[in-house]
Amino acid sequence: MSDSLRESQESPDEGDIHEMHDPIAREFERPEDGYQPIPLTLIFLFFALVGWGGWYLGAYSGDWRVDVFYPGDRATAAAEAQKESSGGTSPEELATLGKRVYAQCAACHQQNGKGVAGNFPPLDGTEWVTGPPQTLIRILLHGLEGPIQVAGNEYNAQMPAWGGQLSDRQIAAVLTYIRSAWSNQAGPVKPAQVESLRKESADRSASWTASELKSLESGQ
Amino acid sequence: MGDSETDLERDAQSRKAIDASARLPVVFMMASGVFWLLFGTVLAFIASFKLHSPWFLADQAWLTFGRVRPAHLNTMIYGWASMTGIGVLLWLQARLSRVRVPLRKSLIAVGVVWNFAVLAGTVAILAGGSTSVEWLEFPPWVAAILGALFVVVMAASVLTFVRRNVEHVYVSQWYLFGAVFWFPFLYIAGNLVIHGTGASGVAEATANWWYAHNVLGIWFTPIGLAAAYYFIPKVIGRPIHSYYLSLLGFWTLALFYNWAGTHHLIGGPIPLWVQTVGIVASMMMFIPVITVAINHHMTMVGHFDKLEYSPTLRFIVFGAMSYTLVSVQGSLTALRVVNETTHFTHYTIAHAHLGMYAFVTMVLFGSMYYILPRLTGREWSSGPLIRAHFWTTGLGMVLYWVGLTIGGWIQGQMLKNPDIAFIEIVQTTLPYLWSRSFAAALMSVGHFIFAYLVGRMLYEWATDRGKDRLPPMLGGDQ
Ligand code: HEC
Repeated sequence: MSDSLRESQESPDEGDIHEMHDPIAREFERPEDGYQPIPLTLIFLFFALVGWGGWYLGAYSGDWRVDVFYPGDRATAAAEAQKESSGGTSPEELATLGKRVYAQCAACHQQNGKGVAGNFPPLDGTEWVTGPPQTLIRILLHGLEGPIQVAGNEYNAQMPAWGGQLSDRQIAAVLTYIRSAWSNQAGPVKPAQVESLRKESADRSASWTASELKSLESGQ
Repeated sequence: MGDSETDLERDAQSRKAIDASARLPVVFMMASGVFWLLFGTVLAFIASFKLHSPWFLADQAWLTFGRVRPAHLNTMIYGWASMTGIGVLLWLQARLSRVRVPLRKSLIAVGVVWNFAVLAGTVAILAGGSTSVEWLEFPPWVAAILGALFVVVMAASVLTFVRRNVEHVYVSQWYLFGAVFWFPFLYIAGNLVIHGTGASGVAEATANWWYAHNVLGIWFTPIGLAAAYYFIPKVIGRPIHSYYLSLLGFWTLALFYNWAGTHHLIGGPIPLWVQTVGIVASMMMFIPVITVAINHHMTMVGHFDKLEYSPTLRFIVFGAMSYTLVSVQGSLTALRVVNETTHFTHYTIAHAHLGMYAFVTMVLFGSMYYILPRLTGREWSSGPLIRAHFWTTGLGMVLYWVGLTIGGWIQGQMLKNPDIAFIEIVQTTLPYLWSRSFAAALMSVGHFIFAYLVGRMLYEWATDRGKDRLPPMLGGDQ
């Protein structure tokens, strides 16, 4: 739009067409776009900023874990895991640690160990929990699938494997805990037992089935 | 451009027709907005005064801080800023699309019901029925009504756009369309997730700040920026500096803003990465902010003298500069080193007002100074009063921000030191809280002046008076 045009839009001489004090007539045209290029330095600056963002995201991701809350917490979490993997092995110490580890089982087997009818078998008063420790250790290390008879009911689902996430001491601890919690009164499990069974089944990747475990038991 | 005289004539005629169609719904929205502005101002003043003088109005349960303060927030957000914002949005879209405002009767009905909904929600809060979820204190049934009304506004906006008579879609349209699509979704989703069973505990807090931050980010900000992008070039009569910068600014805002909300939870019991995502997104906001700032500034260059006579330009430029300032401050505040001092202090309150007031509210004032004379065919009645409105609100805001930012920073430093008794910290903040009330008084004066100006204009319009007054701040287009 030429400058003279702008003038005339603003000029009071237009009064014969519009009432000159009518604000609508006094306006400039609708706003338009200019097409100046984006300065190159700005583009570089923005790329640098995005680069920083990527670095920061990686550096403060907390390994994308849900249980790391502040920077440096990762070290705390690692130290915690270290402490849980090495430390006292008395039944009392194991039971205390086991109660904490059990938080990870409670989602399925429930805090009271009664499970969820039809889906997750109970741990309270079952022959599996109070039976031979080897069977229990195997279940924990590699998981369990297929039909299983627990406390008179049949279940058929998938119990995840824990061997990859829990250390020998943590597995011994949680088993010691569930064997003595609620109405259970079976003896403790030792980290050394877990260690030797872990070695023995090192090349196994499939979950156990109840019948496999039963035949192993009768073989021993 | 040969036939310029008749072109101009035709343009002015089409503007007239559009404005005639916008008249009732837009004036109704804006007048309601001004009512809620006054209402919210009174609540704000009571809340502010209680912070340094706790005895003030302390014997009535409904006047306690815990009720007055959320009532203030909600009337300002859903009453003043949303209603006025919708008025600005409808007018801008009609003007930019060159079509009449559609669904006029429904929109007026929306305005009427909206007022009752905000009133009911506010009464509920004052009566003790707040949901205690920040920015969503209205009871869920009020939220359901507002959600439905938002959908009607959205429909009107889509219809306007679909019927448009222009080929080139100007940048303000993108922002308005963004606001109108993002916000109803945000509002409905936020309410469902938070008041429903979707999120509880830590997840609810995360959803809460996702919502609250986005109310500003993808509702008021796009409306404010759309207005700035429209009125700056419109008033000075010059094209916007760069279409490419407009593009970059819009899309990076769309990409990053939505992620930034979790910076409100830094140091809280939410996973580190969720906080980090919020921090990074906040820092990335530098991109749209710098882009928009350059675009606006380069458009203004050489025209700053027009601030003298155009109230629209004054308020809008103040708002646009505040947008840059509040965004830069926000990005930096998201950094952990800053946040560990400022979190849980008055600093945050100052920051929030820099956004909602210095940016959004000032832009809305500026827009109304332009739009209302066109809708009523009346000029503003007094230049000195417009100036008084500008200086009381402008200076009040500056004082508010400076006082609480400094006071909040000191408060944060003291809070980090476990050897300092809590009461000592409270006492240290007292002078800053007084400066806040003083600033509130200044801004309140401005609001009453503005309400008088609007009221007088509407009165003259209703009684068919004041037609041949000249523009109050002489010098050209306003
Ligand atoms: C994802 C849900 C889930 C989690 C978590 C889980 N389990 Fe299981 N668990 C099962 C299911 C399902 C079975 C039955 C598997 C089948 O049907 O073959 C089972 C079976 C068992 C059994 C044998 C049957 C019984 O009830 O006596 C034991 C022992 C056991 N789990 C212990 C644990 C321990 C200890 C943990 C925590 C480290 C744990 N489980 C965590 C789902 C789970």
